[in-house]
Amino acid sequence: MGDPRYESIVDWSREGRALLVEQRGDEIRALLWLAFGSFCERRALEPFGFRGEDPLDEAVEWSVARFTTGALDPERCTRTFRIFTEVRFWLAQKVGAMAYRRIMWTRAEVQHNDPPEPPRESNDGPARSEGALDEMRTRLATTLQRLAARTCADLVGYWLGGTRRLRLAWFGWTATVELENVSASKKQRSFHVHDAMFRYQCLHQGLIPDADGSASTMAVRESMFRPCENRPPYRRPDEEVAPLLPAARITGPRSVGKLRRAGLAAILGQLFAFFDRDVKDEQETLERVFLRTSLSATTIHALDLERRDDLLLRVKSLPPADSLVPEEP
Amino acid sequence: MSPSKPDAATLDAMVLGGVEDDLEAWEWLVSAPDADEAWASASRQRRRIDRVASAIQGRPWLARITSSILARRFGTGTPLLESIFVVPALESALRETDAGAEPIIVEWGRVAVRPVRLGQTLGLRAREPVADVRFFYRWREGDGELPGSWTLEPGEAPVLLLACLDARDASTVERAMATAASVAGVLLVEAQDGETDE
Repeated sequence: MGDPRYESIVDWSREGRALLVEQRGDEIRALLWLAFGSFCERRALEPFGFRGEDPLDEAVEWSVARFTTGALDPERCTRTFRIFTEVRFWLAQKVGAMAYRRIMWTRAEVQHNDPPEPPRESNDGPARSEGALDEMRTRLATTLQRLAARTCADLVGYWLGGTRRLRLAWFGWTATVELENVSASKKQRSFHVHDAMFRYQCLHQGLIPDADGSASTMAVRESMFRPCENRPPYRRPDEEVAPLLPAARITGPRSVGKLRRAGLAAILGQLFAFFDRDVKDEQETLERVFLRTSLSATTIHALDLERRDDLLLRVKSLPPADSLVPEEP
Repeated sequence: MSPSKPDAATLDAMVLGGVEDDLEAWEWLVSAPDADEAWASASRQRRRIDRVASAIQGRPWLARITSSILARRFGTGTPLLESIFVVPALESALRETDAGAEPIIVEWGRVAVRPVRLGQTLGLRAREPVADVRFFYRWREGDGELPGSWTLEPGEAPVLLLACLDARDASTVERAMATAASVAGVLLVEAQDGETDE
């Protein structure tokens, strides 16, 4: 899905790009100025080779020239005007992705900006091995990256908020103030949090196939696991999804919603089934606790399945998260 | 070893759903105590950029004036001015004339954006009395000195309100931009349903 706030760039040939710069150069430069001015101090651009009188101006003009004459693969670029607001992309174009990371890492080291690591709390439940936590961190990060790529930024934020307590206990921070999204009511916020945690678990447990699947699975995937506008309801509109589903299953304006709810109910059943299996090791215990804290009666409401009493009963019968952690010897 | 905090541009790319080549950045996000706040801040920044960018596309007049404001972020660009990038005495505040609304701080050399409902009135003023700051407006139909405030009518948005430092004799935006030492902008865009200042 394209971002409706940005115009598409259709012609990616060098001639097409040069013509675009000729016709829309003022706008392109303004977007680059807007982005570079938001993320970069002038001196911070020196390691990227912008060392002239005005490194920001240099960076903007270099990016315009790169867009005009560079070898850009449209399959690997944002194909809208948004590309001109993506500073990391242009700086990585200048020095390469590896060098970009090295420069930023070096700068962070020199500036000593990172705050000292907070002390781990000692009374946050059973001790866990560093290895299991490191592995868990990597697994969580991998899925969060996929959630961001397949949904939108707000859902990542809601997931961070919803899992904060658990991550606090695992990674041993000193408790800090929890953020609140003031633009949503408490009830709506709670729904978004549970929606985000559910979608995260769907990806984390590998329940969303990249292609094919039943019509109901497709309805879930195309509605809720494709990039969407960063605003409620955080899913693609049904009218965009309908043409992607088997035509025989689309019998009216509510067909997509019905299929989506059927698919969500089936996926919930798959998530519930994880609790019927035995856990083998510490890693699986952490995963089990994590899954349990991601499911509640609010999840059922957030997914618009509150009429399904069977699902409500099932989620209420799940074991409490505390009971899933083995007693310390 | 704990993963290190990603830089601002990388966080922005993460907000946009990218950064597949830097798992460490995502590891930081799931395990750092200040990650939630950093993500919220990066999301707000991206929302601001998207709003301004959306207004700029198809409006060369706004593009040119935006570039001009941002290009003079540190005054003349000399190291001395750069070191006084934050000049508290020159901070301006955008205050809704509607009762109860919080002011929004506008930084010199930047373009803030504010979604405004039709009929809502906004003013731009210095937080502290500063004689050398003057205020202007610019929209597709023209420009001029800001008469205290701006009431948004249908079809007007986007409207750019400007604060110009040291532009004493200017009567037009063009003249003010040519002579001002620093400029700050507030872009008024029409608020969509449920849209907030965030």
